[in-house]
Amino acid sequence: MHRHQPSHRRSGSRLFLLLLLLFPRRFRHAYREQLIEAYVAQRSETRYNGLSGRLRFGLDILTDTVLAALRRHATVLERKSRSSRSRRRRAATITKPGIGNMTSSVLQDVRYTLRNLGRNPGFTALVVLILAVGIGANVAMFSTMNQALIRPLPYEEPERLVLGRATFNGNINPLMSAYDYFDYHERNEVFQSLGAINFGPLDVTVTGGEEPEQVAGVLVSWDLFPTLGIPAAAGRHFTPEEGQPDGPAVVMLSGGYWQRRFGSVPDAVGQSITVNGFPLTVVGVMPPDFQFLYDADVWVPMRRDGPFAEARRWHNWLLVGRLKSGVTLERAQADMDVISAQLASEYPETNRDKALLLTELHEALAEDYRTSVFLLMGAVALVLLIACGNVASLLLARGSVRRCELSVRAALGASASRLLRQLLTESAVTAAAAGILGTALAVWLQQLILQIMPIDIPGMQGLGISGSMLAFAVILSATTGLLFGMLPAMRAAQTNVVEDIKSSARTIDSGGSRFRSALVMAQVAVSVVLLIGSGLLIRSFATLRGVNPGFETEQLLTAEIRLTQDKYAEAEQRVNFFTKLMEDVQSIPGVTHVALINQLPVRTPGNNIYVYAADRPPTNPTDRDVAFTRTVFPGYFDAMGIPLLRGRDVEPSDVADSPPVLVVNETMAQTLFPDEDPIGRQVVVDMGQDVSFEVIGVVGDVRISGPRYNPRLAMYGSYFQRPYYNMGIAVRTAVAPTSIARALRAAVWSQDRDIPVTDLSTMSDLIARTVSRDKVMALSLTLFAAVAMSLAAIGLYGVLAYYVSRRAHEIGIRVALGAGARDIVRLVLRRGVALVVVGILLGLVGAFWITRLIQQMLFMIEPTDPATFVTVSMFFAVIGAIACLIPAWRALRVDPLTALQTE
Amino acid sequence: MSDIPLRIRRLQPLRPAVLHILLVLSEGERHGYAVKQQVEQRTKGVVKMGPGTLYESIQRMVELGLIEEALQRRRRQGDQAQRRYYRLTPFGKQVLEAEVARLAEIVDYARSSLRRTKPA
Repeated sequence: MHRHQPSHRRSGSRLFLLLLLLFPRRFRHAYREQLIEAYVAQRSETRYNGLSGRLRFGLDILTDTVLAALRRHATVLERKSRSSRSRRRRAATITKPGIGNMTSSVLQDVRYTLRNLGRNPGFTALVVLILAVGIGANVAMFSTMNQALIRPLPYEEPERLVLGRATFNGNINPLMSAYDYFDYHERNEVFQSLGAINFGPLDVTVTGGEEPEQVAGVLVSWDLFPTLGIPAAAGRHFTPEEGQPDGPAVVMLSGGYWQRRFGSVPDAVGQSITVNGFPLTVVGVMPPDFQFLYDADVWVPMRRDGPFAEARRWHNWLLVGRLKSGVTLERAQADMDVISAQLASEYPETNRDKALLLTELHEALAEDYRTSVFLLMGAVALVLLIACGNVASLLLARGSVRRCELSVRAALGASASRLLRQLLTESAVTAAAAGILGTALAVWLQQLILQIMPIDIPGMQGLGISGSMLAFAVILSATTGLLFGMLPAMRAAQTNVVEDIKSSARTIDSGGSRFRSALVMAQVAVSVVLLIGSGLLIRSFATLRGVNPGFETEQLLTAEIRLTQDKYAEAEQRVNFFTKLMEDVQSIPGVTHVALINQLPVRTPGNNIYVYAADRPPTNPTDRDVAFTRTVFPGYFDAMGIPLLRGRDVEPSDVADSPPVLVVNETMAQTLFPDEDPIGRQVVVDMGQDVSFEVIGVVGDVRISGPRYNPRLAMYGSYFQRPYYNMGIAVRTAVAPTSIARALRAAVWSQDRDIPVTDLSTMSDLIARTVSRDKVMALSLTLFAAVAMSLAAIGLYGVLAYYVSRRAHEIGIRVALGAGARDIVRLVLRRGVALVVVGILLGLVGAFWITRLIQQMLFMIEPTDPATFVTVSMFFAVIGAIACLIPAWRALRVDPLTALQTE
Repeated sequence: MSDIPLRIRRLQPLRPAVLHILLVLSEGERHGYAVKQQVEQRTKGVVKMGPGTLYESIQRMVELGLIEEALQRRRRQGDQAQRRYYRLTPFGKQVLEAEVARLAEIVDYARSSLRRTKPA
């Protein structure tokens, strides 16, 4: 043991003390010291390092404690019932009421409760339903969070896996170049193995089957799968030789593709499939449930000096490493920093500001989702809190109705603690019913959550009922029961027998209503926070939707066309194919324009390259600008609705033999040639070696990476000078864009039946997809805020209505003495307005602090956006006023005669 | 004596936690957390015991008379005052032996039936 001092006083051990409360008292006293020591020791184990580790620790401890405590309680109960049975056998003893005979009186309480709840089925159903929805949403959200952020990844010893991302000047890129990867691979002393995976799936064409097939292929280093620790389901992994420049041509299949193409027969291994025209031998198959970062059908080994692996200046790879056992993340990072420094001095031109950042793999994968998931979790927790407030308020109101019943029981000899227990049993039974219903609801809800918010973390598909989810449901239901039951029960149990049995309608339950007022204020405050949060997200989403992408997005059908490398090896063949295709598509009825580009905006971002003005070479190579590079057919800008600001479009005369030309966007013209005429100037582009291009035109800016990202430097070359195999086509139509899909396919296939036409979708769909997460977040938070607001409004109404009914007598007297309508309304409103105003103010203060947590989800909106704060306050004030006015109106209708006659 | 096998049979099969605690304690006295560490080490982390499970099992085993607290143990340097040591009772040893014999039978049976099974 390393620690000699008991470290109980460290932060967190107070939480452990709380956990111990779950155990029966005797057990708790006997083992308190040992348990805390064990908690503290377990917390310091290496598998609980890092944020996700700490969350996992909390969950493990919680599950363990709940299960152990349940077992202990069961043992104690069993022993008690056995001993009481044997005692009864020996001699009939008189059982004392109260604490002494807990078990039988608890059963009695439960029976009484069930009868009592059954007598008010409407009330009970309402309470159970409110709570079940709240608990269900929380359990579902928790289960999603657990699966995404806490549960270990489904790999062997996942805590030793790290993700390596390139940084430039400390900014995450995140891709690293292949040559750098090879160096980190060879020089490091901290990794058991270090693999790499290409930046995304490539669409590859598999031929040789019944018809050409488009599948997703991912390039991986030969040792990626061993690094993850996933064995092949059939055959073997790649070998080191298969990563060498002239290694054997091989491929691995995904379990899914194996099943689709080969019906999962084992002798698929060793067969050959033709990928992009090259025959590759199948060496292995991965398990069907295996997926890493991208959906892939086939994996092809990364080859030194092969595709994407032939330079130090092109960044296409993510690194995945498995640390040697006992190596900490800090030590590994220090080792990487040493290698980065070596590389920087050896290759200053490319590596001066480059480094490799290591992050625990799970933490890195969860980064994207953490804010969304925490935000939704927080929102549903707040909604449940408000719901608890409403139920507590309902119970308080009922508590005054039940006063008489409770007093009678007290008069018959029930002690205060006995009554308290009776009332708490009612809450517990209600909460348990809500918990069971809520958990059932949660199983369904979590599927819904995943459908509207897809999360790409391995293992998310198998979301079902888990032990931790059930443990959470049990704890949440218990907490909920205590939360809404405790105060009403305590108030109700303090009965004054004599006063209450002769109770009159006039009794003013001042303590209870003060508590209910505080509840309403808190509810208003919490709803205001939620409303402001959703308001910010809505405004952000609206701004995002309103952004001008730089081209006309309506009436545009897009698709990808990929020529095979065997049939179209000559540049001329490709030029001819696309030239003819353009003419054919143009003549389809309903088509107005056709655009061809190698990477369509929004759909295929990326592909940056270094550029500088030829007459202004940078003194320092790292000061060069980076520009998107694209290749277009003549007519692209006109078809897309991108304005040509100066000069000319590319033309069929800009061919391979003529001087290379470029059309640049406005930002690029401004950046390279500030306040000068760019037309006719030379731009040097780093295409492996430096190549000079003449600028022939300037066009408007386009948000190439999607509406969220500001336009950056971009340039467009002539297809005739750089004829790619793969091109994106955008067809502008006068009719519904999808209606010409069939004709578009026919046009391609009239030239070559083997060319697939894929990824057909309209541009508006593509753009909607890029902002779908924002939409989901804005919608869900608005839904939660609306529920919260309605609950708060109902709570407010309830408090005021109760107030009016209690004061009917007093109001009657006032009216009889000549008070006008205005005075009566003022009397009621004063109370309501105070609650609303204080609640809104508290909410504004809370929102000011809380909304900065969602800053990174907001687009061009400050988290303290005054317009949102003011609008929400006004809106809530109106809702509050309506909730107050109804009781006020009822107060006006109090007839003084009837009110006084009730005496 | 004749009722002992019945007493033992009523406890079978042992929960994994109970079996592993008995195994560790059969080597000598240990304090609670050392038991947990040794179990995890011995099973290469396959059997993991949280603190709650550990002490709940210990308490249950004490109540069943499988183990007992070792009294009058001399405190070693660095031991904490409140640390309690546990050891096997004779009954615990009987239960462990019976359980191991039962498991051995299952393993024997499994081995022979595997040998008979021909690969598909």
